[in-house]
Amino acid sequence: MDDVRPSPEEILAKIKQEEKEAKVGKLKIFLGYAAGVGKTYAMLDTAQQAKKLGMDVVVGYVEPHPRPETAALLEGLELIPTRKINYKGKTFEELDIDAVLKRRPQLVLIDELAHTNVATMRHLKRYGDVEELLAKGIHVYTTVNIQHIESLHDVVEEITGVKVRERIPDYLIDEAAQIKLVDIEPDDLIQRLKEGKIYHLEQAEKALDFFFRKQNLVALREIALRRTADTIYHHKTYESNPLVQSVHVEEHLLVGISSSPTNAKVIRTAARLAQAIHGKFTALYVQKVESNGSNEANSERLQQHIKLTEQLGGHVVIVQEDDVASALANYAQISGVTKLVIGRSAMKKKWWRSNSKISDRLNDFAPNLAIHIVPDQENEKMSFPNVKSQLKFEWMDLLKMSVVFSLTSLIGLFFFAIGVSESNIITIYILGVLVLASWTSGWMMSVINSLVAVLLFNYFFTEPRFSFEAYHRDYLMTFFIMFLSGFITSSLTRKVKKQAVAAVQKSYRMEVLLETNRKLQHAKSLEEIITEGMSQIVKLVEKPVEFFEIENKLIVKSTFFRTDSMTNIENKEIATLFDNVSERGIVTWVANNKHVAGVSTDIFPEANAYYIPFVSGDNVKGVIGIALSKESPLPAFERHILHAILNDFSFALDKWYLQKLNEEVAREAELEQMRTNLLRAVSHDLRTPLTTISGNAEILLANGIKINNTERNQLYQDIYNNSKWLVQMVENLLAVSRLDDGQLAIEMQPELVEDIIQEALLHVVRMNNTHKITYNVEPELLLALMDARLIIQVIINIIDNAVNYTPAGSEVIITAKEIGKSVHFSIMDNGPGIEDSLKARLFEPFTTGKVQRSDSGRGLGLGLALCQTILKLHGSELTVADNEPIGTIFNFKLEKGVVNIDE
Amino acid sequence: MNKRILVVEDDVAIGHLIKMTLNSQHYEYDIVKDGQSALQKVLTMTPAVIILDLGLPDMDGVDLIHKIRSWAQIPIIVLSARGEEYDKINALDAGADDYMTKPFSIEELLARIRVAFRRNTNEPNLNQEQPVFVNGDLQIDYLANTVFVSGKEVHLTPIEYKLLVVLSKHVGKVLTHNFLLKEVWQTVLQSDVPSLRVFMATLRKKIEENPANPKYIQTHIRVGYRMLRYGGDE
Repeated sequence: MDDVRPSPEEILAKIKQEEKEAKVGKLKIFLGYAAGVGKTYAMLDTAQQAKKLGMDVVVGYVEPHPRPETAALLEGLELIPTRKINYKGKTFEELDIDAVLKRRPQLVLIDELAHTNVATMRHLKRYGDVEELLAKGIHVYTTVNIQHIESLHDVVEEITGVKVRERIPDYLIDEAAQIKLVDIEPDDLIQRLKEGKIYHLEQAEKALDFFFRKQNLVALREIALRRTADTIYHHKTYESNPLVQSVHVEEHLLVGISSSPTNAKVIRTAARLAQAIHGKFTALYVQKVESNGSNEANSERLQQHIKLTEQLGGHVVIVQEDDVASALANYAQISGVTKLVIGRSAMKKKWWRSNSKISDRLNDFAPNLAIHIVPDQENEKMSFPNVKSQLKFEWMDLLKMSVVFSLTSLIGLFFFAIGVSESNIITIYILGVLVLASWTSGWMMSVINSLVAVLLFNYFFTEPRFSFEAYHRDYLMTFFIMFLSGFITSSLTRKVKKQAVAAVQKSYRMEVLLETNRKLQHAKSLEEIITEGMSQIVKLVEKPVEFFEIENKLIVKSTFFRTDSMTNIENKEIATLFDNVSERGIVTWVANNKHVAGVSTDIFPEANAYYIPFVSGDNVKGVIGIALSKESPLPAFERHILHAILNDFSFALDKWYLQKLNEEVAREAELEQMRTNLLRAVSHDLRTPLTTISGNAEILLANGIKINNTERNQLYQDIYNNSKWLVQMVENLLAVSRLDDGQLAIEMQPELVEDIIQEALLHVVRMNNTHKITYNVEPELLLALMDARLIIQVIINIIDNAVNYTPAGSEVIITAKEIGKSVHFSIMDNGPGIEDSLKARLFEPFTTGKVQRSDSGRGLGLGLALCQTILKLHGSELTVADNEPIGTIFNFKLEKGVVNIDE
Repeated sequence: MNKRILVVEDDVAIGHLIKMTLNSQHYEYDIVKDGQSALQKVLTMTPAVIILDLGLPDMDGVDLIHKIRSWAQIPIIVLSARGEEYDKINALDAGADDYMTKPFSIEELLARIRVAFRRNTNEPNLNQEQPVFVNGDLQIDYLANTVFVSGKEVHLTPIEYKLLVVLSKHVGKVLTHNFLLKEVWQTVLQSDVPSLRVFMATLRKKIEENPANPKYIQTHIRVGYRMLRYGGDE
C-alpha cells in the first residue's frame, strides 16, 4: 500500500521538483528604432548590474562593435565562444547554443534577436535558439530593432523603402517578460552617425541619404514608442484577473487567407489593427470544395500565409465551402467577429464572374459587420508558373490524336458518302476533340486538337475537297465556330477530369482517416497500434515513415515503415537516411523539447525528415519521422488529415496505456484479495494443531506419571505430528509473504525439473511412508522457467493433498513432459477422486474434502488456493481432472527454460 | 581426537534443545550467547566444529564467519531462521561449510555434525594434495585426469570433470553456485547458473548409481551443491 499512498513530505518534494523543472526563463528585450541607438550598450550595462547583484551572467553572442564604450562594458563578463561554421566557402560565427546549455548560466546575453542562422544550425532563426534556452529555464537578454517586427513590415517598408528580410514574430515582443525601449533623439542619432560611431564614415554618408533621413527616424521612433505602449496593454490584460477580463466586450477581427501574393500584406495590416484595438485575431481560409488542385507555388504561398498568421498571434481556421463571401459571413456570425478585413484587390469585380462584388455580398449576408478594406496593390510580379507545364508536349498524345482523327475522318467520309449533311460531320469531329480532351493532357493539346479538327474538316469535306482551301466565305465562320466550340468543349472536359481526380484523391484521404480510426480501435497490442498508425500515415503521405520509441527521452527502438509507392531500392535508401547520428540527434532533441522539427520547420531545416513528437500524458513516448523532402512538403489538406490521424493515434495509445494501468491495478487488487483470503485461511488452520500441541503438553506436564505408556506415547506422537504439520503451514505462510510484493519478488529462472521434483519429494517423503510416490520427467534434462521455492511449494501442497485424501497404499505419480514451448506437469493419484460439486470451489480457501488419513484431523483447504495464486503469478493455471479409471489429476503448465551449453 | 563443539545460540529454548541432543551423543560442547564471547571461545577452547545462529544480538553472523575464517578453518554449520536463500548463500560465501533452516529435526542436526567431523579428519589429506581421491565406489585420479566408478572408467566432458574435481576437493562443504562458476568458468554470470545445473545433472547421471537418489552429489535448490562422503548419514 505504501507506494499507492505517498507521505505528504513526498508529495511536497515532488511538487517542488516539478516546480523546479517547470521553471521557464524570462526574456528581456532591448528595443530600438534604428541601429546605433545604444541597445547593446544598454543590454551590457544592465547585465553588469545584474552580475553585481550576484547573478550568473554569460555572454552568448554580441556583435563585434567598434565602439570602445561598448567593448569596455564586456569586461568582466564570461564569454561563451561562438561557433565558427564554414558554409558555402564562408565562415560564419553563430551562437553556440549547446555550449550555453552545458554551461547553464542564470542569464545569457544574445544580441540581434532577428538574426537568421546558417542553414546547418539547429534553428533557422536565432529566436529559435532563444526560445529553447528560455524553455530550459535560462533567462535571456536580447536586442532588436523595430523594423524587424513582423506586423510592422509593410509600414516600415513604406517609410524607408527598405524590404526587411529578417523578421521576428510579434508574440516574442508581446510575451517577453520585459521590454526596454532604448530611445534617443533622432538629431543625436544623426550626430552619432556623422561622428562615425555607428558605421564607417563612408557608409555613414550613404546611410544619411537613405535610411537615416530625419523624417524616417522620426517615423520609426514613433512606431517603436507605439509598439512598446501596445505591449504594456498586453501585459496588463494578461496579468489581470481573468474574471475581470471577461467582462469587457472583446473585439474580434477576422481576415481571409488566400494563396494570392497580395494576401500577406492584408494579413499584416489586419494583425496591426488587431494589436491596436487589442482584439482577438482570426484568419479564415476558405477551401473550395471543387478546387482543381491548385499549383505548387500557390499552395506553398498559402502555407507561408498560414505560418505568418500564426507568427502574428492569429488563430487559423480552415473551412470548406464554395462561396468565399458566405463562408466569411457565416464564420463571422458564429464566432462573434466584430471587424472583417479584406484586401482591395479582392473587391475587383472580375468580368467573367456573374457574382456581384464581394463586399456587396458580404453586406447581404452580414449587414452588422464592420468591413475594413485595405490597400494591397500588387507589389510582386504576376507569375505564370502554370503555363510551362501546360505547354508540355507528349508524343503519346500525338499518336492518340492521329488514331482518333483517322477514325473520325473515316466515319465522316462514310456518312458523307451516304449523304449525311456537313453539320453532322462537324459534330463527329467535335466528339473526337472531346474524346481526346479526356484522353490527353495539357491546355496546348486542346488548341492543337481543335485546330487539327478544323483543318481535317476543311481538307476532306469543304469544296474544293482534299485541299486546305475553301470557296465559300461562310466556311470561315463555320471554321471559327467549330474551333471555338472544340476548344471550349475540350477545356471543360479537362477541368471535369481534373476535378474528378482531385475528388478521388480527397475522398481517398478521407477514407484513410476513417480507416485509421477503425483500425486503431481494433488494435490490441502496442505494436499493433504503432504498426497500424504508421502504415496509415504512410498511405496518406506516400512517403516512408520511421517510428522511434522513446523511453526516458532516449531512443529505445526504431521501426521503419516502407511505402508501396516507391521501389525497394528507394525505400532502402530512405531507411539509411534515418540511420545516422545527426538524424538521431534531432529525434532526441524532439523528444526532449516536445516540439516538431526537421524539414519544412525552422528547427533543423536541413534534416532528412519531418519529426513529430508523440506525447502521452506528460511523457514523450515516441517520435514519428516522415521522410519529406524540401521539394515536396505536405500540402495543407494532407497536413490536416495527418494531424487528425496523429490525434487518433495518440488517443489509441493513451487508451492502451490507461488500459494497461487499469489491468495492473485490477491484478494488484486481485492479488491483494487472494493474500487476505490466504492469510485468513492460514490463521484459521494454525489454531487446530496449536490446540493439540499445547493441550497435550499440558496433560503431560500435569499428569505425566499417572498416564500409562501407550497413552503417553500417543500424546507425544500427536505433538510431533501436529508440529510437523505446522512446519508445513509456515512454509506456506512464507510463500504468501513472498506474494506480498507481487510479481517483483518472483525470481524466474530456468530450473531443472527433476531437481525441483526431487526437492519437493524430500519434504513429503520425510513425513510419509504410507503411499507409493514416483515421478517421471521427459526428456531427462528438462528445464522450466519458475521461482523454484514457490513451485516446490505447489508440488508439495498437491502431493500432501493427494496423500491426505487417498487411503494408505494409494499411488501418486508425478510426470513432467515437454510439449511445444511449455512443460506440462501432472500429479495423479488413484484415490476415490473429487466430487464434481467440489471441483468448482476447489481452489477457494477453506474448501476441504473428506479426509482419509486418520492421523490428520484437518484439511489443507488453503494449500490449493495458494497453489493457484502462485501459478497465476507464473502466468499459468492449476486445473483438476478425473484420472482413469479412478482418482484425480492436477495439471499445470510452465514455460520451458532455455539454456546455452557450450563447452 | 578433539570432538569439542562450540554452539553460538542466543535463544534459550533452542540452546537447551541442542544441549540435550549433544548430551545424548556424549559430545563435548560449550554454549555462548553472543558474537564477542564466541570469538573468545574459538581462541581458548579451539573447537572442532562451530554451530552458529546467524541472528546474534551483538553482531551479524556473516561478519563473525568472516572474522573466524581470517585465521581458522574450523567447520561452521549455520543455523538460520530466515529461510531465505540469500542469507544462506552469504554465509556460505563467507566461508561457512553447511547450513540448516529452523525448524530442523534433531536427526538432521546430528547428521550435519557428523559430516563436519569427517570433513575435519579429511583436512590433512586435502592439504597434502593426494594424487588419487577415493570416495566409496568413486575414484578420481587427479594426475591422469581419469574417473572410475566401481573400477570402470567413466568419460566426462572437460567441464564435468572440473566440476567433479572442485566438489571432491571440498567434500562435505556446500558450494554455492557462484563459487562453482568462479572455479570452473572463471566468471560469475547469473545467466550461467542454468548451464551449471545441466552439467551437474549430466555429471550425476554418469557417476551415480541411482540419480533419483544421489549418494555423492547433493542438490541444494537455489543455493548450490555438495559432495557427500560415501557412508555418510544423509
